Amino acid sequence: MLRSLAVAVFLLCAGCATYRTPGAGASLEALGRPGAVEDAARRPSPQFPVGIAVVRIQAPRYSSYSAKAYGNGPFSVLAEGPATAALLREISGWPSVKSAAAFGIGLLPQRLSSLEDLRLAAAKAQIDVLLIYTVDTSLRTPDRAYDPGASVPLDAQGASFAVRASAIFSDVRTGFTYGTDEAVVSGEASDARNSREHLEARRLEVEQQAVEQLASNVGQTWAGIVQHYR
Amino acid sequence: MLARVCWLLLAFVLGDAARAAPAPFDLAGPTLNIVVRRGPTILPASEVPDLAEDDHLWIKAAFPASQSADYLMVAVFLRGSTNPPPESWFFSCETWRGDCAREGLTVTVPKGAQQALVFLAPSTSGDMHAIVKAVRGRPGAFVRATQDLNQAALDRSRLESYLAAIHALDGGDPARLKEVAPLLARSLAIKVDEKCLDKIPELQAACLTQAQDSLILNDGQSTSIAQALTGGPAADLVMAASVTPELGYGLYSPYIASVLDIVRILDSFGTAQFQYIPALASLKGDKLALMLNAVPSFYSPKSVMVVALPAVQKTRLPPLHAVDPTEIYCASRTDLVLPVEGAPLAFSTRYAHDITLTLAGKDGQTLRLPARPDAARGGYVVNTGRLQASSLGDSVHGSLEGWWGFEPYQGPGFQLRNAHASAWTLTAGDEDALIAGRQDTVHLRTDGATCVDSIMLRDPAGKELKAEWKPVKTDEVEVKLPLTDAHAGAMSLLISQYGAGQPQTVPIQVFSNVRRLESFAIHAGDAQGVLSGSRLDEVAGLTIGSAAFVPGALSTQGGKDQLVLSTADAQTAAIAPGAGATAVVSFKDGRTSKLAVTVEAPRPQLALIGKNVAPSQSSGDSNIRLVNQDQLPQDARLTFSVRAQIPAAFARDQAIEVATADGSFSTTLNLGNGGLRLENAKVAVATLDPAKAFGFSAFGPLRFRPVVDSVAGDWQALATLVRLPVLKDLQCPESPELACKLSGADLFLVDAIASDPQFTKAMRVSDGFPGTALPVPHPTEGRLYVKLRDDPSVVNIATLPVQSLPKPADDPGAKPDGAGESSSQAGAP
Repeated sequence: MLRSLAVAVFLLCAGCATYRTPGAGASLEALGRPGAVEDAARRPSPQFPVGIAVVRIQAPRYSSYSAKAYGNGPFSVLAEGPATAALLREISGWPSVKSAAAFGIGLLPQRLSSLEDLRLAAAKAQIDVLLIYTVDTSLRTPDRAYDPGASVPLDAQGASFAVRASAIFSDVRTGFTYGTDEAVVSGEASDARNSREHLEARRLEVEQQAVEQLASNVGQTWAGIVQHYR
Repeated sequence: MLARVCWLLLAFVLGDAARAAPAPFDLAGPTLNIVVRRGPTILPASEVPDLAEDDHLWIKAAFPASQSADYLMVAVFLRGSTNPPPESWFFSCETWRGDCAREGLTVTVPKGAQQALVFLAPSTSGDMHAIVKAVRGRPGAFVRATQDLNQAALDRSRLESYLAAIHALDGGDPARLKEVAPLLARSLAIKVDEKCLDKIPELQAACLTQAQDSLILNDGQSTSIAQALTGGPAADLVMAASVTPELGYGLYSPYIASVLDIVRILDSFGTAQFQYIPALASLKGDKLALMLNAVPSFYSPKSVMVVALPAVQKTRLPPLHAVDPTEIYCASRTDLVLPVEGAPLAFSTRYAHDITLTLAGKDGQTLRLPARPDAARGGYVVNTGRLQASSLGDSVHGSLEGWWGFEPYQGPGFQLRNAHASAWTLTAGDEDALIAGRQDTVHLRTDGATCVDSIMLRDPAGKELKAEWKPVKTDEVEVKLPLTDAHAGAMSLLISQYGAGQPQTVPIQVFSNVRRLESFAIHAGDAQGVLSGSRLDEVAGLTIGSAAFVPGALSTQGGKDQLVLSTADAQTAAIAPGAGATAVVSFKDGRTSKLAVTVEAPRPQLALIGKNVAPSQSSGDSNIRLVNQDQLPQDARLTFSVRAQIPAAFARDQAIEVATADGSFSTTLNLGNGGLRLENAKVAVATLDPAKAFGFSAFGPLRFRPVVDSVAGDWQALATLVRLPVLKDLQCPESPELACKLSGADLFLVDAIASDPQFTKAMRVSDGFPGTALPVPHPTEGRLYVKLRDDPSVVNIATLPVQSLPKPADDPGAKPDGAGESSSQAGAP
């Protein structure tokens, strides 16, 4: 009897097992980035060779199966991970770059309200340019799109990840935006042997591809920035 | 207050001369990381020349990882000398633990603040209370300390930039050092001993960096930034002190005087618990590295480091200006340098940042080219890479723009030209001036010669030789052509320009080297004449009778050489005009030729009869009595009379030219302009108003000469033009051992002042002294003896009523609180 009950509970749990989709990407506009008119009034302040810091921001209270972001407010900051490491590898080969580092969250306040919080923290670390990026990952099946933070049945068929990675170059001193970039990559998410670990690993893999594509794009943008401002 | 400060300072420098040279700031202290936020802009402190109310400051002290002593950091704002700051303006931070250790200290500049300081004190009981008590007890002294610290830090930044540049060049090309040193001196206002550049290359750099602290010249820009807090007089006195006999008659720079003043002020604060030591902020990347001149003590009294932050004041933009505003620069040069001067801090600090050369194109488009200061090149170096793709037209105006701290900065403007295909022509007379067999010189003219990169000479066989060239005007270059081994015939010059494609070709004709003598012309009585002909470069000499003439300057015009020959033999005076005389010309190859001499009428000559100087109405303001009749005050009027010698009577068109010895200032007096009036046919009276004729900057010996029919006579000495300073007040303390204070205007016109005519105890005034007060010896029998800058060979007399200089009995620095009375104060006579 007891054995039959255990089997029944196991089957029940297996049938309702789910994977929680990651939080959304941050709206770079929500950062308090100036509008076009205000941005025109700001000025570039390039200090070649520059120190660049890379910071990944996500939507407020972002969490995923494997990570949790820092800070309260209109965005949150995700500590260094494989995606950021990929960007740093790319940046180390860029021209006119004195140093490249991941953004240390130690100097950030708990309450994040705008881009200025990031700039001020970067200034304290003698950073000249911030490369701010965000990753927006959605999961969909042929008949449904899942919101960020939604529960997806592990046995969902035909699921795929769509990843949009976006980035801006921001001048730490003035807030001037040097340029923006983005990359979009998608990949199959599931098969008959779905598990949370498998889905998470697959999500990170697709996000990594998107960030690597983004890294290539921002590299070209950086070359243009150096040519224009140096 | 001023008198008190003056007395104190003079008492210090005169009474404590034995230790005049201050200890150098060569001990490395901790580093301060400071970030300032104003509105949307965030800058490191290294780019902030001054603070403003409501600025947000983040300060974090960085100590070595192995730091064992705990330091309390205290940020303090002051609000002037006479208004102690409230206790709420003291912000403390324990650098070794808690939030401060992790996040640093964030403060906002309070309303009404005028100065800012940071103290770094070894942690001990009552540390904060002791600092609050010291600052609130004597805020004026700390105001002075911030001013002196800021002044010294700014001065030192110039010295460090200079030394870094010299050391970078040491061991390299000696010619480069010779070229760069004057540019560094100009950019950074550093004194360069030109004799160093005559030494052997291995010794040049060492020589240029000797006596480092005294190399720093007074710089009005940093003084104006630093002195704003006290309104000027104190800084003036600091500089005045630097030219006292005890500080080496101006040998020491104002920097040393500032450092001495800092040490004196902070010495007076010694207590049983703390002693205060100055820390100079030196730029280290975006951080401020603190340099100490005293070893910190961790035994009582413990050492508190005092660091000055930029003053809270309205921004003063740098007085940067173009070295030559009329110069036209080539925008197409890849290494375009725009020479500027007048603001050394633009070169030695990062206060000027994000500077661009902003160009307005003919289509209204604006192009901003990044520009960076380079003291070794004497200006801003512009990256013109993006110009190639733009269409700005042939001529464009640009200006240096950017930011000075948080304030937008509009710098000097420049006229630039783009290289373009334009017609090049030989100047008139040069078309047929080229002779084969010698190096020859021609001038090329175009509508813009600023973009020339190189000039080559192509001979009839197509062989190309490099030609030496230099710009002589904005539209003209001088070219030396290597024709020594050339043959006569058609050749061409190939002119390459920056940014242009193919070089432009200018055809030239080189003539054969036929030697020919045309004439030798000389005025009767003259010792020199002019030989005309061709290939006169081969002339070795000329004789007329026993008078031997030697060659002087050779010029070529219209294909004809003209060679000046002169003699020391007075016999030529005996040759009468029109008399037939023959000259023998000898050539370098030993051959000789005979030539008829043309003797022209003698040049005009005048004899000076007498002169009179009429002083101006304001001449008494100077309080200086000139003792030499030959000295002519610049604001006086000179009347002098002359007698005609040759010709025997004055002609209607005769004039008298008056000029300075170097000819840089001159004027013509004649019957038409009223400068010359005839007494009779042989005697005339001339009147000269130097101020009107020459302006303020003319000085030194004046001379005159007659001019008739464009023929000028010999120069004769007339007077020595001197400009007088205004000596207003003389204040003296009771003690004859203390210096008096002499106030006035234009004191840079004084070379030296003494109490005796032999100048045994003299006070020499340094070059370019801009102050309004000088320390001088007590007068003897009411007299001071003055040598003027414009004529230091003459000792003049100044007579001023002596006023009493009150003794500052209530000076706060003279009697410090508690223990540790300053030896410099107590020892002052």
